Amino acid sequence: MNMAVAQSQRLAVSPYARRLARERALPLETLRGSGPGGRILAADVLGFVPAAAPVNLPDIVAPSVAAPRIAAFTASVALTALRDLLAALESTGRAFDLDDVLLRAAGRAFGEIPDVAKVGDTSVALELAGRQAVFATIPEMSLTLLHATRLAALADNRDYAEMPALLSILVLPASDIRPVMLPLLPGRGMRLAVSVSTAGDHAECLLTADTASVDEAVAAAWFAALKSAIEHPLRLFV
Amino acid sequence: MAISAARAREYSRGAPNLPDRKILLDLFERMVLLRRFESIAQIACRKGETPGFLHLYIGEEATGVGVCAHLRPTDWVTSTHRGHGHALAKGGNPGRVMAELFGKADGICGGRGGTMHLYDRSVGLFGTNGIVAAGIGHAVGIGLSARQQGRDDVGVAFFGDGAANHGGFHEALNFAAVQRAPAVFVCENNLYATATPLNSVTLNPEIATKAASYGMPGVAVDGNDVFAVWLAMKEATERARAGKGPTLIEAKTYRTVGHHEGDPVIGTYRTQEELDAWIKRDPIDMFRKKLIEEYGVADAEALAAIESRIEKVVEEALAFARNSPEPDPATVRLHVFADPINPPAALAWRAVGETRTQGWLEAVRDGIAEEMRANPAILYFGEGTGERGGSFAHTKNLWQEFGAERMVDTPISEQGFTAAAVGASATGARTVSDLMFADFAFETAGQIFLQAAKLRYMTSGLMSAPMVVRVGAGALRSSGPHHSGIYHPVFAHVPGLIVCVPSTPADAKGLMKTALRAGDPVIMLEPKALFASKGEVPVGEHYVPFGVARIARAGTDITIVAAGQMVQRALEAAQALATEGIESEVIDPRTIMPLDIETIVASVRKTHRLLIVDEAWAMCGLGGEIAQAINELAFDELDAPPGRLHTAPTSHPFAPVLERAMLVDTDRIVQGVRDVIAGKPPVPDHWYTVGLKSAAPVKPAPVPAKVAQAPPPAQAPASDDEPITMPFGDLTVSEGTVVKWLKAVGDAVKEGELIAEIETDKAVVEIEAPISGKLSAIDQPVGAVVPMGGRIGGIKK
Repeated sequence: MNMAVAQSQRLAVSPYARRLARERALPLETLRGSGPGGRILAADVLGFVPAAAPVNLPDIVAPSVAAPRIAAFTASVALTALRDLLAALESTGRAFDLDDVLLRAAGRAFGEIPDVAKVGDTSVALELAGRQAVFATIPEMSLTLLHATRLAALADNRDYAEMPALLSILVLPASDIRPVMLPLLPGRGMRLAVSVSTAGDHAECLLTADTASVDEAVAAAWFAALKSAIEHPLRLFV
Repeated sequence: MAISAARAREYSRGAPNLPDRKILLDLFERMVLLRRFESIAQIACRKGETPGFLHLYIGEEATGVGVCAHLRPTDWVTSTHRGHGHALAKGGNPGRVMAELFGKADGICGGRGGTMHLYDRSVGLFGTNGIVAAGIGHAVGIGLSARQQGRDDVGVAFFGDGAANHGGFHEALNFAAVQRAPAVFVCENNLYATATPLNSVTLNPEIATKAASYGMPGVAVDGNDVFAVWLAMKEATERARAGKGPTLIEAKTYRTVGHHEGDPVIGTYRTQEELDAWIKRDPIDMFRKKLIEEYGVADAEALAAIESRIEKVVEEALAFARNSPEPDPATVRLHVFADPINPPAALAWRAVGETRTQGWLEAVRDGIAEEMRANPAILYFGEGTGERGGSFAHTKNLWQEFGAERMVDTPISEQGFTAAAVGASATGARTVSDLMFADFAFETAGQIFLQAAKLRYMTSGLMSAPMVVRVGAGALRSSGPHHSGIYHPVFAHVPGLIVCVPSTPADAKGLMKTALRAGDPVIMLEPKALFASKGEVPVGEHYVPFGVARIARAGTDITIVAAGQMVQRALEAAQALATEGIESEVIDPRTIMPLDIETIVASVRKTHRLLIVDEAWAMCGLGGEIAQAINELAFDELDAPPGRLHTAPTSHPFAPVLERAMLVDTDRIVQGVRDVIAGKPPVPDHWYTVGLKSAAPVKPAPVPAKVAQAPPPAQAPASDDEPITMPFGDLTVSEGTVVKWLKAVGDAVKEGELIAEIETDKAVVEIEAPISGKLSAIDQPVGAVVPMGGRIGGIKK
């Protein structure tokens, strides 16, 4: 009967528990109901603790959206040097965007912290509106080449979400908001979100990593290398 | 005791006994006013201008006019469904009465009352009444109220022969007689209760003789002879004012129109001969002749001048009614209760001072005595509540202090003395109607639900019945099926009643004192099971406001709402649950109407769980009401479905073991709380589901064809003729078939001449020419079906 189907698909939640979960941005699906028939009660929301990584499941490497084994790092990255440099380059007719610099810096960081990735797996996905473009960031690919490849990818319009890449980069519209939690994209072991301040003098960055793919300490080191590369941009051009 | 007809004739013979010329001409003028007013109302009704029913008094004017000629504005009359005449005879403003028939804002009741509910405090009109015999007892209370307030005003009840077979008549007359109430009972015997001949429903159709049963004088008069009525009423009024007691006057009369507009004039129950005979005895024609030929106080010209003057008055009344605005729909919720609902005394802040331990009955008795000392116009009606002190000793010593005139020991006539309580409380006194047991309230349900509860609303707030219905309520040790009910949801269901269910002596006293100062009828349900209880009662003035709950116990895990004797059970359960670590908050609403839902919501916001425990039954009851209110007001606060525990849906059994099985007790509340906390509230089984499947329609049911209702009055076509229309009439009839045209196109017709007949489901309607002229068009031939108000032809002048 339709009713039975509907009932089986419907999550039983007390109105108060539903309200508490809404206020805490907790997805109801992640909660376990202790009430009659598995009904989620207020106590289930108030007592919710994210589950620890299961120790006996080492084989699970495929990252997933709801993966509970997440590490996240934030950093404020100064952009004043980069801004000055880009302006100077532009006056000489060589225009680069922040995206180019990010791809370049990611490649540089991969070079400095090789443990972060399996050998050869240093592709980076750039998140565009509704699709991804994937770039091979062999450590010393020049900015000029990166820039040209990126423009070609933008014109291409194809979605490379299925193409392997360790990292995806999301450049948020300029604002003074600091991202603190973003899900990983399917198939990506790390995600870098960059929110450039409205003044343009710094960016708030969030690195989310699936600890099943990337050791958290290694991810942190990689993030530090990235930050350093952007804050000292001259090194990226040599 | 009856005044003989011979004596009445003696009064009228010869000049010395005649009243002065002005009185006689006033009687004539007033009768003409009634007749012309209603003739115009009749036309307006047929045109569809007056909503609702219309019962006309045409033919009976002499009675209302002859009676009211003796009355002052401070005397009151109670009336019937056929009461426009009484309203006008008592002095009602014709324009405002007509506006009320039109349902307009300038009507005497602001359009809320209408034809059968015409009240006017300024002229002493206690209301036409849609309920047969309901007003008779009001007149008794009105008289007692006036006497208690030191005035010699009287209460006069009009009613028909149909009412003379109603309990309300017998109870009221008996109570009035034994109280020597300043009242006059005027039966307008028009021979038919709607269409039922009087002599087919009683073996004693001489209604005046029924007075003897109650030891009061009864007199039968020619109700079509205004002077005969005037004489009989003169004596009855003088007797009443002098404190000698009530009189029953039977005025034999006849209505020369149908029961109501749209009903056939003759129908199946009367003959043309009978009608013609009574038309020959038309009260106005007879009196006109007498004034000219017998009394010689006026000539035809002088009387015609009066009639022309009245014609102008009613034309103005009609114009006034037509021009009056409709009531503002935004006001529909006004005048249900006094605003504010609490009297000032209950809202005044008082420091909590000294208290003393008192029993329930003593505390309430103190409250009543304090209020009776403060207000000499409080009367207490009850069975055995006088010298005996009440069945529960609940009026002990009050009779000794306040005397038999105020502590009135009544006959076992709940209807009679509750009606009197309504009449008295609406006219300056305050009354307690002590019905002993809540179950007995249904003996006078009409007076409570239809009269007291609605009075303020019907009159757009101009009148109210601030009475207290006091009863012992609820189960107590095998009181049995007829002495155990509490019924507060029944009372709370009807707009206009305040319903109190106290649970402590202090609240019982405080609510009683507030009730005796309130502006509206109060149903005071005192749980009998608590009569033996004791509690701390504040010393001195102590008022508990209506609509303010008491938090009987604070808690965090669940809210239990309980009233009356269930409060103590809930507190016991809360104590037991505390040992399990469950902290219950117990809310005692104290008054069911108004209901302090805000306190309950605030509690649920804290506890997120709710159990309603109520002594009344579950069906359409308090549990469902409060649970749904929480759904509406605090859904997101609920962590479990609300639960309800009610007395089992049975009558109260006598056997103690059965009674225990039926009632909610502490253990059931404990279990109910555990169930709600477990997310599985107790599910009642009061629906008596039969298990048969409802069938789904094979195809969607068509929307029922809309019954033609009040189409706009027929518009004349391009031609300038006067439309002939199918008149509006019976509310349940919407169309008719043309069965006969008595005139052909081109024929000359006179205004009022019969020109066609239309048959409806209920009657053959005779269509008269609206004006004199020539029949210019027949739009609807024989056989055509025409809607009410539809045009069937036209007349050209």
